[in-house]
Amino acid sequence: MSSDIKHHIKIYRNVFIGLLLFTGLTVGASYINFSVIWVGIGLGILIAFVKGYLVASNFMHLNNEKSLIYTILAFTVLFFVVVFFVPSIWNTQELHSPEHIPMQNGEVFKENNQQNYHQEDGGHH
Amino acid sequence: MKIPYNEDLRPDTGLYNAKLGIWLFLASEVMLFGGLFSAYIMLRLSDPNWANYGQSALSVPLATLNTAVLITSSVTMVMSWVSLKLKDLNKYSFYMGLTLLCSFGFLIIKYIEYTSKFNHGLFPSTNNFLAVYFTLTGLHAIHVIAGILVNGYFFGPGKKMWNTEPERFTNRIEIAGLYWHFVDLVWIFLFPALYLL
Repeated sequence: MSSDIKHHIKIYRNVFIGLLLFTGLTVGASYINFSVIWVGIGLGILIAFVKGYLVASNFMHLNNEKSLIYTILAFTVLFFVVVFFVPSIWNTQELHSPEHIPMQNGEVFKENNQQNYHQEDGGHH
Repeated sequence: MKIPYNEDLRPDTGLYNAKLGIWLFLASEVMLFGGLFSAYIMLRLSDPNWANYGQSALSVPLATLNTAVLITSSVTMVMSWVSLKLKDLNKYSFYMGLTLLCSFGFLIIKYIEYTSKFNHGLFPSTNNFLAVYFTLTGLHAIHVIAGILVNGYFFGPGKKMWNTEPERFTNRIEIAGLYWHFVDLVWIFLFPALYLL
């Protein structure tokens, strides 16, 4: 038991060093000007997933857990994918077409702004 | 009457009850943050002027320091649980104390960041990016505060359970640890998403 725990302590130390190194790598990668912006974003997300895997598998002991926990997590991943991607698919027409979402100075242009505009324009109706 | 399966494993699940409970709770937390991440991506992709909304005003050095602090707190948290497994209460108190110190350190750095933004006239109402930034980091900070309350209880008055039910107390620290590692996990994704990409 004791030697088993001591083995785990060694793993925790290595994971700690790995997480710090990957954090440095994430920051360093963000300063590189990739010719395609998605390469930089993809790299950043990939490193985040590696770090997430290290935390989940070692600190949260997901590398050796009961099957019920994995079942719960499988359903969580399924629902997470729905929450995460379905709105994007649903609004595919609007993506990259900002004219569908009236934006002004970084905010969605509100309807009452338009009404105020008409009133200022001299309309008394 | 003693509540069953605080220490013993249930024959049907193979888990003690609190462990099943915390994983169900964490699943709901994934959905909470997942919805907000989804909203962030939708808003970002919908707006070609996103780059002008103050992301460059965020302090990458401070956020990097905060990432290191939170990762350190995750290690000290798991070490506090290991110390209980090794039946060393003094070491447990040492590591749990370090975890609390790191947690407060994280909040202090966050406070410095927020104050700097407010002093420069950057508020959640300023634009969509800052609204997303303050919502996500604010919600995460609330989770850190909740973790401090739980860990603070186990560092102080809750520790006396060790004298009567050491196995149950060890399980409690494992549960608190799972929550704390989840808080760390969320930050691991928030950091590049908000500050770097």
